[in-house]
Amino acid sequence: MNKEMRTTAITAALIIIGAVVLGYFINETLTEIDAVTAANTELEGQISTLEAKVATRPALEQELATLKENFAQYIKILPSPEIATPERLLELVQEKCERSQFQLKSFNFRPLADQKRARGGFREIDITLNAEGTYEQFLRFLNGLERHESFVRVNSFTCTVGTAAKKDAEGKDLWPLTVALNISTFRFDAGGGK
Amino acid sequence: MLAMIEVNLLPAEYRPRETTNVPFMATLVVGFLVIGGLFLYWMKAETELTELKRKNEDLTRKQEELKREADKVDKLKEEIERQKSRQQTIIEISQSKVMWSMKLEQLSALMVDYKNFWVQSLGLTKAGGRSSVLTMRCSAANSTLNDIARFRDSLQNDPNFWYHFARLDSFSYTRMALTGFRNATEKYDFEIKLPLTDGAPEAN
Repeated sequence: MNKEMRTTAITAALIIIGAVVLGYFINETLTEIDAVTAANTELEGQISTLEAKVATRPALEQELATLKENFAQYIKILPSPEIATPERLLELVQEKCERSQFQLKSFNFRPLADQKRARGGFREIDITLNAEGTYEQFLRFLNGLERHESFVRVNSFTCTVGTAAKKDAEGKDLWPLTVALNISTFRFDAGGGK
Repeated sequence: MLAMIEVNLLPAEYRPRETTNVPFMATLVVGFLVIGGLFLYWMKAETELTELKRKNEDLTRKQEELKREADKVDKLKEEIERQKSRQQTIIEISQSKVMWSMKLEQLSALMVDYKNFWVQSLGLTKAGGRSSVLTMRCSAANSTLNDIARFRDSLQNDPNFWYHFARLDSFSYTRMALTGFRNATEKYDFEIKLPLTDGAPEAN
């Protein structure tokens, strides 16, 4: 091999080595391009999903506003937390007893901590009372409670006739009923419950 | 060992002329073209990669912003569900109320037609199952089973009274002698159970 041929061969070898090195870098870059392109495609997919979700926000805000507006109306049937207290309920029962001449014997108000918590942040306030009176007095008492502006629900009651008759002012026999009554009212604790 | 050196003693004009090394030049040109082409392609790919990476950063930033927005949407949805649940609860509470004073007045009005009937005890209690039951222990003096059947019909055929009740359960009637009464000698004792329909309030 003469000098020219040797020079040519060395040059060609150097060119091939350079081409191989460049090919390696090009391959690396192309691989990275593929990875970034795939990541971008995935991101675009996620973004379009998120955009669709975010686009519902105005409608949801509108729905929530309507629900809150409706709830503000519905909640009016329940006594406010200021009214649904043991003190106000004692006053309510006392007033209805006096109006109906219903003889209250006992009144049990379950402590607030033990009250049942209904879902949605509502608290059921439960009262059990025992009393004595005629059927008419019982009905008047019940009617007074049920028609009161505070929501009062009758859960259970038992009426049994006494064993001995009592005389009224005119000397007529009266058969008073022994009544056990369980009633509930509800109040909404805005901060509580799900 | 002596090295041999080649000395050309010919005058310059007689010396053989050096010709261009064509294969070398061709190799150089091809090499330049190949290396240059590959380099340009690499640069183009790198530019494309840089562009894609910038786009990726933009997309990631946009995704983060949208995720924050989507979280707000999720919170809105949770709040809507909570409001719906509250609304449903309050509807259920209001629908669960039966005006028992009216119901008992209606019962009194029905009983007016049955002079010989009376109620020994009356109770609204929760049965073993879910619904509450209005239970009446009744007596009927100097009456027949026909009168009791008529009484049952009256309870079931009065739409105002019967509303809220699922059915009338009353299966046994006991005939007993009455002593110490001038206008009656015997009576029937029986119990009537009126379970409430679903949705009506449950006794505790």
